[in-house]
Amino acid sequence: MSATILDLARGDFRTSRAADELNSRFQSLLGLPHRYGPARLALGRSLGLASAPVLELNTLGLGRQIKGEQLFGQGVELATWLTLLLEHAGVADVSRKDFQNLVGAHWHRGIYLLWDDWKSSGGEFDAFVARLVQQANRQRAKAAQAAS
Amino acid sequence: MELRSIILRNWKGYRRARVNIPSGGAVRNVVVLEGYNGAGKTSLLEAVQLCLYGRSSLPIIARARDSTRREASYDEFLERGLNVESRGRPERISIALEFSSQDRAFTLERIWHFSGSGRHRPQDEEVRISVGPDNELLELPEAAETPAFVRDFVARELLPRNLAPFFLLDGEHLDQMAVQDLEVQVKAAVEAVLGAPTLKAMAADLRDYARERRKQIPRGSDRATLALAEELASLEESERQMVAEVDALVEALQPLRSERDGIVRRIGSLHGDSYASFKALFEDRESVVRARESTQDELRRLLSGELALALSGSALRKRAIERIAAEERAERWESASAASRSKFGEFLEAVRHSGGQLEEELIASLREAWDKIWSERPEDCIAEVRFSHLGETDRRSVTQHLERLVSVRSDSIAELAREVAGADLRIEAIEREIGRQRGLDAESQALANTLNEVQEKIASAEADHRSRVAELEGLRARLSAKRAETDLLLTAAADAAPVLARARRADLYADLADRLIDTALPANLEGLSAVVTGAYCAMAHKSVVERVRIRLDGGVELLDADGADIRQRDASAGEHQIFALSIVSALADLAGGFPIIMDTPLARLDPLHRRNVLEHFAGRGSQLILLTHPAELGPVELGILGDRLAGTIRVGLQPEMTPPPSAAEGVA
Repeated sequence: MSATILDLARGDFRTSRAADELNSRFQSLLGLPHRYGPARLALGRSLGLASAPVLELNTLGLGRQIKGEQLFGQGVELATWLTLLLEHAGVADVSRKDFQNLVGAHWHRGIYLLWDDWKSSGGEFDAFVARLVQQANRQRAKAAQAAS
Repeated sequence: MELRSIILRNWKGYRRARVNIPSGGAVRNVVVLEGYNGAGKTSLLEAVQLCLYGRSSLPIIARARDSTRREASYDEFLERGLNVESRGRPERISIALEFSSQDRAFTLERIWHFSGSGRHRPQDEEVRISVGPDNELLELPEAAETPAFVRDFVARELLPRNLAPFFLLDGEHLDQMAVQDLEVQVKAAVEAVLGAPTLKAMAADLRDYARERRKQIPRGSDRATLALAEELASLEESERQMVAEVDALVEALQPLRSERDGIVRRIGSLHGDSYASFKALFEDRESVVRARESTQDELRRLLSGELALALSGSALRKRAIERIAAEERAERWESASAASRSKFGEFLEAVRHSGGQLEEELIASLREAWDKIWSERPEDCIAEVRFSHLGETDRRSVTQHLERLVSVRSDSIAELAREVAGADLRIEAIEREIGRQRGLDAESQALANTLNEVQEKIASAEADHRSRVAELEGLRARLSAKRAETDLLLTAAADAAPVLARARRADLYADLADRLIDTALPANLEGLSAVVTGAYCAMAHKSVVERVRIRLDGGVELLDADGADIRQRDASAGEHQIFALSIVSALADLAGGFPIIMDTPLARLDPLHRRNVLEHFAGRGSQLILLTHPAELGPVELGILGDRLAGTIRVGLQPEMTPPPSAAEGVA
């Protein structure tokens, strides 16, 4: 990875404008005080899919930026997110720009997936959370199955 | 430890006085200082508080609590305390306390100086500590460090400040202690009993020590080392600032709480009998708001923390963990390989030095054999480093973090969300009830509005405090990782190893002390609750309370057979007093050692409660000093004390308590 962890922590990240608007909507629906709350859920949701997200951000207009240290947290949280994103991408050497695009694409894909989850849960907080937890635990069951 | 005498000069009504307190050991452990109203009983209690804690005693001195400006009120309080006959010329107040136990003796003396116009001169404040039977004066550090030294001495040898409200008691305000701010006081006291302040100070000292040791090591001049050192210094500076901010927030809360207590007292004086329930409602509202905030914080943390990461799926996390391990193995091999190449170079040099001739072909064969023996690449050693952002300690912490995400439970998240919604409904209901009880008169309305504002400020300051403490914890985790990384770089210099080992051990013990503080409170709550239950049941004559429970936040509940908290009901002032006394007794049992001094402790109690309280406290066996009005202790009460009574001293400006000091012995 050519960009250092500090570069990334201090760098700015954005997704498409539409995804950012959806992010704000989730922020209020879930009662989260910061923009990074839904954004992290979206990143996690997108990382749960094996395929790489594809998005040409420039053609869709950009949303508001968020600092890396807010989006990913600090210390071990930051290092963990970077580790998962790089492992998912399967690349060793990524520039700051490429990494920003990768994050923007995951964020975009993830927030739309979350929106589908929200609709499937009938717009109910409890059902939505239960669905996400089920999603996280299903991934674990699949992994265990594959391992056996 | 027994208090043996109080020596006063120019303190309130006492021009010069010496109160000698008879010693009766564990058998005759009760001393009564008796006096009518205005005789100076409370002044004696205040003298003890002031002498032990100086400026920090103000929040626990009932008659000094009204002002919200602590700095100013300390001066004002002292200026008001200067004996009237001593005004009009430069003078001083001095208070000395003599303590002794079987093997130790101390005298603590504080002296405050005043100008001719009666102004306190804070810069001239003096403290003297003498120890041993010969009263040898203890050498104190430089002026700037004296307050911390004295505070530590008093905490170590006598009584930590956090425990003072439970040992030095004004009976008139005991019922208020039961309903105002009890959580904060109990939590602080339990932490003090468990030694948390000492552990915190020790952790800070250890971290300072480690920082200083690391500074002694010569730094490398390469870019990586310099950048790391710069980052470390900046994190350490942030830590210092954050600790100062957390301390400042704690300090800022104190006057707000005093202000709230003052308003509640004034509302109480307007509302008569409904005072207790009105106060209870505010307390209840504050505690629900606090619980709601903390539940919501936890909910947010789970949603945008663990759940978000867990959504990435365990297959991806497992791959990441495996790669981290593989990269660690590769790094270890690289490092061993580099060391081996260097050793091979030294080997060749040694052969040449002893006159050996080595052909290029032979060198190549030797190198091949050398590599095969010492640094053959293992099969599971990967060539590509994907996680170059992870240092050695990061690898460990990221792996642990990923492993912890094994299960996320929806019911815990949903339960938290329901708790928040439930708390909102409860707050609404309490506010409706407060509105109903508030009364219609303008003064009550104005006071209630001010109270609301102060409560909001307290809630906001507490939320700030919580969030800053959480940030500080995060920062310390980063600091710890950075220090480990720095140590790794510095270890290259062989002579740095012993110094680094000491610094690392100091950091390790500091972390251990932090963990001890975090685990000590939850681990001891059940035992403490049992002791409080025992004390309460011994003193209260109502049998509805089955047990007393102390919560993690310091809140105390009186539970009936159905598990309902009867504190929510409108108890009488006397019942509140019994409740407060049971906590006092339990904490005194746990902390031990220091005498309990109570000013008019029995005035609001009925005869049966008086008997129970006297029997319970006298039976504890440690020194109990009662400052009482003659009407409080009649023949019946004195009969209860019986052989426990070491002596009765009449308090006031009688001849035996005025100059000359040598003749002013108490009457036993």
